[in-house]
Amino acid sequence: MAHEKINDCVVFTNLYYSVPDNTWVRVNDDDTVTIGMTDVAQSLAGPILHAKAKSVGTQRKKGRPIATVESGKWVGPVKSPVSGEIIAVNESLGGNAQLVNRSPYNEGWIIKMKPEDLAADLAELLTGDAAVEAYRAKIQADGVTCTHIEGTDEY
Amino acid sequence: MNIRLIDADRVSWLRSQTIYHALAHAKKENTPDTIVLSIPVDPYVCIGFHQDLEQEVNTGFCAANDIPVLRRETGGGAVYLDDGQLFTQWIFGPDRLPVKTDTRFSLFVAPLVETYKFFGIKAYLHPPNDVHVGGKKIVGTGAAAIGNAEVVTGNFLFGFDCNRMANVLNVPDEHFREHFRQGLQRYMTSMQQELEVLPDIRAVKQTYVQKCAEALGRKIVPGTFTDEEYRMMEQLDEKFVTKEWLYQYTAHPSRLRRKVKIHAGVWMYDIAWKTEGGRIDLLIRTKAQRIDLISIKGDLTFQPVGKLKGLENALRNVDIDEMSLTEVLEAFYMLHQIESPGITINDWVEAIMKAK
Repeated sequence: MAHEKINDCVVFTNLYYSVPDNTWVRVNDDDTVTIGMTDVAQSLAGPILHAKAKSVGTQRKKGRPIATVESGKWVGPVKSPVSGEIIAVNESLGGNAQLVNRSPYNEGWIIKMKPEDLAADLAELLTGDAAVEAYRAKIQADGVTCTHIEGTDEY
Repeated sequence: MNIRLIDADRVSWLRSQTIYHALAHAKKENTPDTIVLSIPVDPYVCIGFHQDLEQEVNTGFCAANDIPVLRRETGGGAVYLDDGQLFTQWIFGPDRLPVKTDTRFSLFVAPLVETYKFFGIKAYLHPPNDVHVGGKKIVGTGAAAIGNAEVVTGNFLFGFDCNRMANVLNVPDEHFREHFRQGLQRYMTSMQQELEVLPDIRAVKQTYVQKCAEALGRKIVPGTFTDEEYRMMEQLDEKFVTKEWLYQYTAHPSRLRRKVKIHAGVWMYDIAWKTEGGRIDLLIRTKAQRIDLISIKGDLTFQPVGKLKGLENALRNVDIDEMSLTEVLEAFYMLHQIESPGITINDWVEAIMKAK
């Protein structure tokens, strides 16, 4: 899969990103979406101890929390990059929250959602080269270098 | 923009938490960054955002001693809090604190450290986010993104009641509690322990605010709450004591039954390990990922009689890694001709590795 590495931070060009909130969106074949935290987000958070998603069936507006994560002594929300209904949560995170660190774009996904208006929400997210360049600017401005714990997916 | 200082001084146990949560939830784009100082007049137990209350707290003791329990929105573990502590809470705009967590904690901790030093206590940052004095913890910190704010919390520890702290936590048995108490006494400190005469609390506050202004390079001016912030406080006063809020998380089954932090480098573990030869119950205190103390019990056969104590001694100061543990166990088994039917060296290693 095409991706770029910026200060060791992986950015896939086929995903859509909310750069300010550090979340990604993958559009699935059935027009549902999978949502997770970016490599930058997991690096800033550090080893994650808890990742609790909202329940299946919850309606969320864009920008509202779909999960909370706790790492070390920081707790924060994962904000939804699209509006819709949560149709699945990653149950594996209940017993192994560090999947978010090890595999932020695959096994560490947070929720799946049935979007209300996917086209409109995607239009406000960044993808491809635009996402890479936005992340390059953000990573440099914030002085971020991504860190990966043992067992992290390799790209 | 100047930083607003709210010296709430002595407040109820509930308000010592809901003030800063309310400021964060009510924060707007034009709300000034705020530093809150407060002291809870009544003792209480405060659990971390994702903790299971029943698993963490000795609810029977708390009920019998009128100690309320509260869930906060920041992370970390359950703590006993009382009027021996001055809380320092920063509620800032997300773009006005460093993005990187370690840099953020360094900035937050700097005025605490400088204030302690000003009063003659040789405090220093113990990465990532504690403050130590001679290897003992004197400040614990927490952080969270709440509402539209980034929150960082810390404290000045004038005194610390190790007995109460040991009593309010849920532990497997009194043996564990006693070792936990001793661990706290050994690895925690306070201004009371470090100084012959406690400084005036007003002087501590004044110095701290001055050190904050220096660290942040910004002016700090006294301010008050807005009406909206008051309303939010009242809402949170109600929410934080509801059963739905307090009991929202349940425990996950695990062979590591209990893990309690004494400070960033010192932990206690309660491990139950099932083997073909019976169950091993381990109580382990680790320091810098070495076994600082280990107690072995269980329904196991271990011969010659009396050698289990010897194994505990042999395992002390051993690094918690498979190779080191295997070496020590193999040597001990060979030297003392140990027989432990159904319990292999690998069982011991796997069980002890849970304390990592």
